[in-house]
Amino acid sequence: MSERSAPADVLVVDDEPEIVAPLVEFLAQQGYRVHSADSVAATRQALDRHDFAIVFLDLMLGDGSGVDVLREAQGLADPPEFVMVTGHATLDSALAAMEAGAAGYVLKPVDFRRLTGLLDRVLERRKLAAENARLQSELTERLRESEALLGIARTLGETLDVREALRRICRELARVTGADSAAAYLYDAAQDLLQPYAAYRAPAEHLATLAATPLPLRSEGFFLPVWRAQQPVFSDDVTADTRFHHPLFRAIPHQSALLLPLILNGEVAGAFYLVWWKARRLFEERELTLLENVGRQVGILLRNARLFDEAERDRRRLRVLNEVSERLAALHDTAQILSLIVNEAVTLLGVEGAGVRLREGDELVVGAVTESAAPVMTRPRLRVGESLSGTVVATGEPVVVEDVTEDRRDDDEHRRAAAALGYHGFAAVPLRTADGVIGVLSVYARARRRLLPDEISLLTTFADQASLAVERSRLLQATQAREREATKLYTITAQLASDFGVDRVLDLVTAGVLELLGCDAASVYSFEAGLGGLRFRCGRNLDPRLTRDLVLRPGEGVAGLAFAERRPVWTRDRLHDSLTYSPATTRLVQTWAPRAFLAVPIVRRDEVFGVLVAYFAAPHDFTPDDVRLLSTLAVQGAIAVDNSILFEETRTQQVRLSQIFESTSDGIMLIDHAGRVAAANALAAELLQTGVRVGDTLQDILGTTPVSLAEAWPEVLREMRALPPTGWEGDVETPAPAARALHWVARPTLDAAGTRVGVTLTLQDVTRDREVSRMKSDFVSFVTHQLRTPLAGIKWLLELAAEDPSLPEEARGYVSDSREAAERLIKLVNELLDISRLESGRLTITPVSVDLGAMTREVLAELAGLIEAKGHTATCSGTGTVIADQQLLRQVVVNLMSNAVKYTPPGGTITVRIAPDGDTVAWSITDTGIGVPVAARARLFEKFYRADNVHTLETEGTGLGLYLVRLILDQFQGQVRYDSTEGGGSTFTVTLPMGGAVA
Amino acid sequence: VSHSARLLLVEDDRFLRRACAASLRQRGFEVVEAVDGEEALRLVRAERFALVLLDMLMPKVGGLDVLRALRAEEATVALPVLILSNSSREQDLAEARQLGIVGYFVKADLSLRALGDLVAERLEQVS
Repeated sequence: MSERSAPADVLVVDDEPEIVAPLVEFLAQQGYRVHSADSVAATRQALDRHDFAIVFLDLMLGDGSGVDVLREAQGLADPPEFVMVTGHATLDSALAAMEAGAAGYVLKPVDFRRLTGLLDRVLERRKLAAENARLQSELTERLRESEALLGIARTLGETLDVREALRRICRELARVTGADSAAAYLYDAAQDLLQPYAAYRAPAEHLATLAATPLPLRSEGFFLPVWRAQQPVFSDDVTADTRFHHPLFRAIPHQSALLLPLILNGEVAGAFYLVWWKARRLFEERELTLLENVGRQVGILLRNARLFDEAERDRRRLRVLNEVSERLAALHDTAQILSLIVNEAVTLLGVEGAGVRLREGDELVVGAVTESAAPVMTRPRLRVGESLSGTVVATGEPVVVEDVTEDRRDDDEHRRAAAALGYHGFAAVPLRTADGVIGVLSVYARARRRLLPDEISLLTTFADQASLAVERSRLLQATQAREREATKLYTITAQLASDFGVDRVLDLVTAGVLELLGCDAASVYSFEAGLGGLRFRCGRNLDPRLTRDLVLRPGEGVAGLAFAERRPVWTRDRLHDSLTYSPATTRLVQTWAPRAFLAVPIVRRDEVFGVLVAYFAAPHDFTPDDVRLLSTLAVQGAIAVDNSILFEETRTQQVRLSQIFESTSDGIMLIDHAGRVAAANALAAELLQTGVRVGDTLQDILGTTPVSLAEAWPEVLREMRALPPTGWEGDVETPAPAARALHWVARPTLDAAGTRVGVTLTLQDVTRDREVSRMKSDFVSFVTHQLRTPLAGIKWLLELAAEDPSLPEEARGYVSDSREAAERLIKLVNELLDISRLESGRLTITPVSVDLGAMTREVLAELAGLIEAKGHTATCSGTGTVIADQQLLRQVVVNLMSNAVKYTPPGGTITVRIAPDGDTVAWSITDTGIGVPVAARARLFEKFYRADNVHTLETEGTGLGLYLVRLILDQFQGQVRYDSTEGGGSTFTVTLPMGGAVA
Repeated sequence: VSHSARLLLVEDDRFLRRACAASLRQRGFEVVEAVDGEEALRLVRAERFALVLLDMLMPKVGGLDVLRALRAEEATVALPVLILSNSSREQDLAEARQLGIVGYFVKADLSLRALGDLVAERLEQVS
């Protein structure tokens, strides 16, 4: 069952339902479509209606015997297999059934296991029988065909000559079909005709017609299904058949005919025409099919024959081409390649001569020519488009000429030469590369003939190979040239890079020009602004006597023009150009006479530094390569000049910097971000009393120096990136015996772009400064003491004198004046001392909150005597606390108040006001005094300055009071300003930061 | 006013010494004069004084040295000292204050009257 895909019909015949039911059920389970019948009549009906695979048949039925049904069924086209079902198996009945053709029998009640085995056997037997029948029929068919085809195949297998093959097939066809004569035709696409190729048993009187006349297959109404349906067409009465009305068929009187198409690649490639002169011949379908097969077979054989032919020819040509190709591959020289190509072209095509012209710009130049073609290819140069070869290059299409001597397109000289040599046939094909047509390959033949398409195709193939070889050779040459160039350029560049003298560099460049361009001389002119022109700088192969004093104006000559226009300028021949030359150049030219110049500007930092010139003694066509090379050298030269100038500058700068670095009075160390010494001067090491080398870490140095920087510097190192721009600083003492005072400053090191790259540590030996400072301080102290001591003596002794009651009145006045003078002197000394301290910053200032009102009133009280003496009215209003040094602030108040008292004419008014002003306190004093002259305003707070008008009041003063006021106020963010008119009184206002409550 | 207290005036400048001693005696003080620090120390060790008026800058032994010596000896560790100096070096002043003094005045800025008042005032304070 497994081999069957569609369910088979089976019939169960029995008159006992208890037998039928389980059998039907079992068979249905096995996948059969089960029918049943209970009588002979019903069985006959069922057998009429269906094709059963198996019939289970009861031997004994009510209306007759099962064996009868079995016998009858054997007459059916495809009788089913019978399995007899019997209740009482007798040998007789079983034998009868088997003899009648039963496949087997089962006993009732049915043993299903046995039945399964039986079913398989029966079905297998049935399948084999069917297969055998099919094979039998196929075999018979094949045999027939095979016999016919074998005959034809044998025929064709014996020869690959198409004509002979067709003749033999005609014979075989005649033999197979019983035709009297046969002819074979092949289709000629060019003329759209069936051309006669072979004939078999053509009667002599019809030979010309049957075997030599083309068959106009598609014209003149002869349109048979042959053409479209590709099927044979036949007639047993040709003369009466309208399809055969063409005169050709009328010309050969025949009774029957068959036209058998010959199919090749799905198209009609030819036909066989079979003729029965007298007999009427009709064809059965099967016969026609066979003939069609024959037609196809012949098509294949025909194709093979053709392919073989072509392959044979191609193989021959390919061999030659391969040989040529191999030989071409071994050649690298263009001339040799071209020579090989022309010679091989002659051999391969069997022509007389060949030549190649290669394109050079708009011209075609003879590249190679066979000896035989040399006299005809006499013109060395042709323009593209001119003559036949020129046309090929211009159009990119081959030209084929039957007789070149008569072709009007060709130029006369060529035609005459060809005629003289007896050359007629001519063909020329383009040499193509990816970049276009690079030349033309021409061949000459003696024969007056057009080269066949095949030959042109071959020539083209040849030309393609030649093109590739030429291109490759040119590429190779270009590559080699570039390689040589690159090597030379590299050598020159390397030399340039290692040389740092400008003149040496330029000399190398000119040497490079000679070597790379292969020119006769070279020179460099450099522009000199002072001369307003180009001066000869250096050169090779040029007479220095001629060039020494040469100055070229911009725009003059090749070099001047290259300079002025900043581009390469050249002349092929200076005797035949339109450039203007200076008299100097003309002189030079007359003496030495170089003819061709090429000049390129040397541009350094966007400025034309000068011009590089190459000279050729003879006229020279400068190629783009020449210009490129010279420009490259100019660029290299410019870079080298630039480098050498930069190098000089850098070296000078470096030497200078290094001198400064080493001669500075400070020790300097540059520490990078890794904490390593990037640079250090000798003094740094000396001051630190340890070795300091580039690359040492700061930790190394701190570990070896006896100077105790270990607290400050590691902090500097840690905060390196966060260091404020002003840096950090500190002081340190070096241990004895050196015992020096060092002041160090750490500041961020910035690179040119302003990026922090580390820290600069500066060490300053301040030992001497400290000494000087101390000495100065001691000196001030000493002087103060020395001045004050006698002054105090004078003061005290005068005081004693003044208190002497016995002192005469007049003397008492003198003593009083002397005391006043002494007081002035003491005041002056005190002020000078204060100023000295304030200026040197050595005064200890203790800013505290000060009650300015109380202080003012105290001072006012102290000055009461003076105020009263001058008859002034003085008042103080308001109050406020400020942040200041008590002692120093008091001096400010005293100075300003005593000024007001002093510089106000008797009977004046002095008003002090104290008021808060934002976060400051304003203390102002207004007087009705002499005021500040306009001229004095700018200098009022200067040391030792006194306004002109102070003398009007005969007051004493040192010119230090206001200076001291300003100096003191500067100490604690105080300010002083004034408003005054000369003679109109003044107001001096002091503002100070507001203080808190006074304790 | 009774000013019978004994004062030691240490002053190397004879004009100052003379004027100062005269004025203080006029005010009724008993004044013993020393011309330098050496003499001053000798006197202090030998006699008793209510107050020492001490100059700072003196030959041989300076005022500060005298003060240090006084403070180093038990007998004089609490002896009131009034510095009278024409030098006003801050560090000297600071050290003197640390060693213990009853005042520090610049002679040129002081009148004899004011000096007498000061001495009287300080004696009153220390007694």
